[in-house]
Amino acid sequence: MTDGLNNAITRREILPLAGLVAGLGLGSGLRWWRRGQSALAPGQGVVLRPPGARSESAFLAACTRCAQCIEVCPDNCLLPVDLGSGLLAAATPHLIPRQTPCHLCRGEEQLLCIAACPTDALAPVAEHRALTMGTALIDQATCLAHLGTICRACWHACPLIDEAIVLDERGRPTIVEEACIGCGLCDHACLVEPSAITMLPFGRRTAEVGRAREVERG
Amino acid sequence: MQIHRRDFVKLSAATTAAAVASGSALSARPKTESKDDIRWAKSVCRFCGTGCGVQLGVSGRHLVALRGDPEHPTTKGLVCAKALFLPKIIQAPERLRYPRIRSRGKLVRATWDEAMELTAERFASAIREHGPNSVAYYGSGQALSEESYLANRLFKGGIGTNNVEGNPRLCMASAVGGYVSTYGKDEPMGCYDDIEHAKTFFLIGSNTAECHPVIFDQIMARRRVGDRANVIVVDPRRSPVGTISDIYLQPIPGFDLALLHGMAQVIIAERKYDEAFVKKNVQFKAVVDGTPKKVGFDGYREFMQDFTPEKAAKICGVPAQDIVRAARMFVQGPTMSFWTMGLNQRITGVWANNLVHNLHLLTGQIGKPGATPFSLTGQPNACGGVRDTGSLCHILPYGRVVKKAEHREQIEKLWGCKPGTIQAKPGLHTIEMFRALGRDEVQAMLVLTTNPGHSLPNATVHREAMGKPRKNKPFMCVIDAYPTRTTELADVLLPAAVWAEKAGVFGMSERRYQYQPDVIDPPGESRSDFDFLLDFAGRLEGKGVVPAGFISAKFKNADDVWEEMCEASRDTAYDFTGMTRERLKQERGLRWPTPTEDHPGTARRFVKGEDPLLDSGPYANPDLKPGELEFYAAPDKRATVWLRPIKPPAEPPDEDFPFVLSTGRVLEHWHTGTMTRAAPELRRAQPEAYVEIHPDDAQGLGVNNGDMVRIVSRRGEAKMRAKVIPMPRPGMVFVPFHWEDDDSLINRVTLDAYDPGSKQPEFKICAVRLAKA
Repeated sequence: MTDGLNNAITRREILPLAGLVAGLGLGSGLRWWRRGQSALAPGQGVVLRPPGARSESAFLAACTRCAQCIEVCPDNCLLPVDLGSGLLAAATPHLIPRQTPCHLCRGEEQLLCIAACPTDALAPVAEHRALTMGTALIDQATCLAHLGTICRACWHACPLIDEAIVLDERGRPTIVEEACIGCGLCDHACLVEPSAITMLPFGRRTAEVGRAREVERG
Repeated sequence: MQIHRRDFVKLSAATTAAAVASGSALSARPKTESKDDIRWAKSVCRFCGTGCGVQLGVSGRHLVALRGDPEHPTTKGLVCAKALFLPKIIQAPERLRYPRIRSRGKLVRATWDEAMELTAERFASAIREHGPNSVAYYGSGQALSEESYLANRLFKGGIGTNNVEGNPRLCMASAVGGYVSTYGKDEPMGCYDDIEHAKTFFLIGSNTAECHPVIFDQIMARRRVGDRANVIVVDPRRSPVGTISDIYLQPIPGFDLALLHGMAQVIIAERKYDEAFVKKNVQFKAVVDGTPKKVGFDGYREFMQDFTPEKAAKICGVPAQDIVRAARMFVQGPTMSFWTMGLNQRITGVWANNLVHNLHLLTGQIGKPGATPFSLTGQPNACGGVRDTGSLCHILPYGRVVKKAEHREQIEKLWGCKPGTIQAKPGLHTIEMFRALGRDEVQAMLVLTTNPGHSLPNATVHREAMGKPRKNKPFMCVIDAYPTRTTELADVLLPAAVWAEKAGVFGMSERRYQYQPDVIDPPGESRSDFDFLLDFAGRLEGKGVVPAGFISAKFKNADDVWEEMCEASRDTAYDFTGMTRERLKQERGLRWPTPTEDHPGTARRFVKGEDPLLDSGPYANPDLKPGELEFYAAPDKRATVWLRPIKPPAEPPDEDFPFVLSTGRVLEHWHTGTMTRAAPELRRAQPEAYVEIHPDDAQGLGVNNGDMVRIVSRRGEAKMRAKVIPMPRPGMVFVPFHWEDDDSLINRVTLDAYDPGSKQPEFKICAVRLAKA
């Protein structure tokens, strides 16, 4: 599922690099390369970038792989993308909220990863609300609340409670896409396995993904 | 009931699938066969007092899934997320498996026989040397009714001490005090069915959304139908209940009595009270020089002059116009009130309960479909299991009290005791019991299926009483299923079978007794509390401190005990002699009174046509017309509207300790969390303690969201992360009490002052100061 999605999204980003790709050969090599390009972590779905990250291509161009953001993260939620995900993305920072979500540096005055970034790969934001790491998407087919069991774990975990996740008149959580900053605390809190919440990198339309899921399920 | 039932078929199938998945994800458990191999057994949820009907999916002797029981008459298949994890929780690796005895400071494995013999000997020697009042029982609203009944029988009738207490003292004692002082009879007279008839809900001191989620869901459903229900919420903290409120009032903690009086004053001033109802069914009383005195409606009206909305507003901190709005909405009946710990866990707990009843009595919002004052219970079996079986220090089974000679005689006769065995003086109530333990006056204590080392207020003191090594240290026997902050203090620790591992009866908030079967085997050498009590009683009989055969000759199993319980209820207001064991196994619970085997159970007490006690027996009244109401258990058959003064909390905030601390719960965990923390999913969703601080206060303190904060009271301190959020009112902080590590143990900070009537401690209010850690 994620393969197809990412190919679609990153196709245009691939073009300028076509020459390089040719040099590296085709077949599996291409696949490996493109995986890195599309920032796809094996088994983890699409990669989420740290707070303040610019668009994927700009981020990849600006990030020096210095790992300073990874080192300063107080919750150790930033991880380097491994080599298995492709050469281009290797060692760039990402987060897997289901394992360790972004706690927005808890009590710190500013986000430490942004402050630590020596380039403009991670750019300062005016306030937490302005962050655009990604957008949460609730899969209503597996979300307990949507299935009829009373659960508000994601709503409770949301740092923008009642703004980014609101409860409908049946007490079911709904994501407000414009307000969601993509920290992934909801994904981390989700009680079902696998999580009923998918974190989409900012800019990916949740509706698009939702449709793709429908298609996949048949 | 039109209420939602969200596309039920799809729901239960999917929920089952989810539950099966979580069940089979357990380690060491063989992968579950296909869903067809699962046998479903009806049971009851193990958590709160809602008493949700559940179905247990059993494969062989393994519990592989749980789903809501769609055929359950009141909860209709709904459950909250916690319940789904019960299969995993009950089969968690954390479970205790073997008896242990403390040796050189460590708990080392022992045989059941060794552990039981030591326990019995320590109890027997204490009784011989210091008399029966040197031993004590501290039980639980989570034990089976038969277990509580048996323990109460053993201690009060066998050993001859009234030192029988339990955690319901921390939970609903004030609600009992409220019902008894107002109506002469404990327990909600209404039922869950009233939810679908109510037009207005008055929720006070109850975070129903998280503590009784299924009730909350049913209230929410009443806002989706044509005749949309109103919801008034009163809570100093803006809890998730706020998501469905029309009016949300946040009084100063401890001063909601003025708010309740203020509403009553508006109702009287605007002549919105039910004059005919009041004339027929109500009397007005005030306590003058320590004695209750009738003051009449005029006396009440005069008293209420001090609580005009403007005056009440000054006391409780809620704007006068909001008090008026709430009062006007309250009278748009049928009106149903719900409350829990916010009212009960207070030194004015009984009074606060009385004042809620006042509103219902003035407006006649009682005894009609949808109109009732309903106290929600926090534990699955506090109401039917502890309150009703008389397993507290001042009461005897089914509405009897130790103070009345007539009641003692009835029970002594039933139990086969020598006359005079049951003491006339109430035993030590919870806080005094643990204080006496600290003074080494109680020399041996049995703690059964509860966690006082975590749940008692002012915990440091009471933990030392239980566990601090000293000369003549009292002996502590603890029986539990999980390691807790109490099991670590035990001298003998016994592994308990729980819930689906043993059969018996739970009695929940709405007077419904429900049978739960044993469908799986307990882990290791665990035994039920029932088997433990039988063994313990037999050994005490052998040592001559309990009359020979007092327990052992009469009971072999829980069914035998149930038979005697039915007998004990005969001719009382609880009469459930018609609830045979067979019937309970068939039905999805029955509401007492159920005096005959063909009686369907009682939806509404005190109502002619519904309450069988008005048809026959000592309370019968043939002159009443169907639907008419009579408070038959009250003096003059009239309920009492009490004139209660305002009394500040035991420890109001001051210069040194400027904040009010209140504690509470989250949806994902339950009480001391020993069960829910055994589910990794619940633990991940709510991993650690936190303190909610209002943004204005946080700014003043220089605390950011996520900072570590110290919370200090005169008694102790805790350290946890700040959650800066406008939920508590300014000047108040809120901490959920589920986590057990030393930093999170918020009960080291709370206060053990208690209500002089109900003896329930004031968990909800104490003074603290905060500082960035």
